[in-house]
Amino acid sequence: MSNLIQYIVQDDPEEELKKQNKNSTFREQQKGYRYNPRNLIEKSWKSLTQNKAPTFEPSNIKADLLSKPIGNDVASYKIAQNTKGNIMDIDIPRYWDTEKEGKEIYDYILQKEGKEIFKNQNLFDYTLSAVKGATNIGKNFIPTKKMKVTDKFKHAVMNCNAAQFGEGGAVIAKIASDMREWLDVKTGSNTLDSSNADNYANKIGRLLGKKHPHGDCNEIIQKYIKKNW
Amino acid sequence: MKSFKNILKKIGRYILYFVAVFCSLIVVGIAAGITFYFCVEYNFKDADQQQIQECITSGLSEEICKGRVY
Repeated sequence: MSNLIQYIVQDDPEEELKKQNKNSTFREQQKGYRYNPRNLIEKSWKSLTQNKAPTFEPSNIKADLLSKPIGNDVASYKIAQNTKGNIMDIDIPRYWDTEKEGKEIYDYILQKEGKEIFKNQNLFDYTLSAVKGATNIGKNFIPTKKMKVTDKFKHAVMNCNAAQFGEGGAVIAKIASDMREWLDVKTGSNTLDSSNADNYANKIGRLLGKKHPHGDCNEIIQKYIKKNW
Repeated sequence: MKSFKNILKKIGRYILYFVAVFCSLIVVGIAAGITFYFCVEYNFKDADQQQIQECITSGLSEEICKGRVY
């Protein structure tokens, strides 16, 4: 639901980013202004309408906002604004076993990182990224399997690495992951619910891979998904 | 005009060859990928079972343990 609201409220993401970059200096100047957007995010409407002037003490700021954001700061800021400052309180990094929890965490990451922005790739680049992504999956399959980390972390890292090559890589990762999950369900290795939970880990990996094409997937995913038991 | 038509026919044939090779490469790639996947899964079967057993002995249900391994 929150995704839908975000989608409706949000206009063209690139244009909004440009506008916010333009206005950022103005925002900094109006820090003292009670109803400025930063205040609206950090405080509730009620507290702002009270007589007491808002303060910027660290204790009043949400832990989410204090932690250093991975993505574009302006983008995270914008999404928080669009959803009227309703950033969910979730303890991260964490592990999940059910589809419901997976969706919750995916939504949270989507809010924090922002929606995927699709790159314009020509057919050649698309094919090349798909081939690179597939090779990467094949190359890293055994080393990842041997890693002593949580299952969801493995899923996310594999997808993130492939998605970093571009759209083609992300599509190949999606096909491979979906096939694997389908097989797991059909062979009885996994239940449908936990397979769907795995799919959310895959989705998170792809989202983070697309958002940070030059970042280290291990580090990025560690911030959201529990690495060790 | 006639030679031009011949060139077009030749190019058309080469495009057809290219598409055929490209498609067969994709099919071979998919088949190789699936075979590779099954081979790896088969090799790690014992290790996975051991992990599941350890998880079950720690007090969790079999379903959850399977979900945590696969």
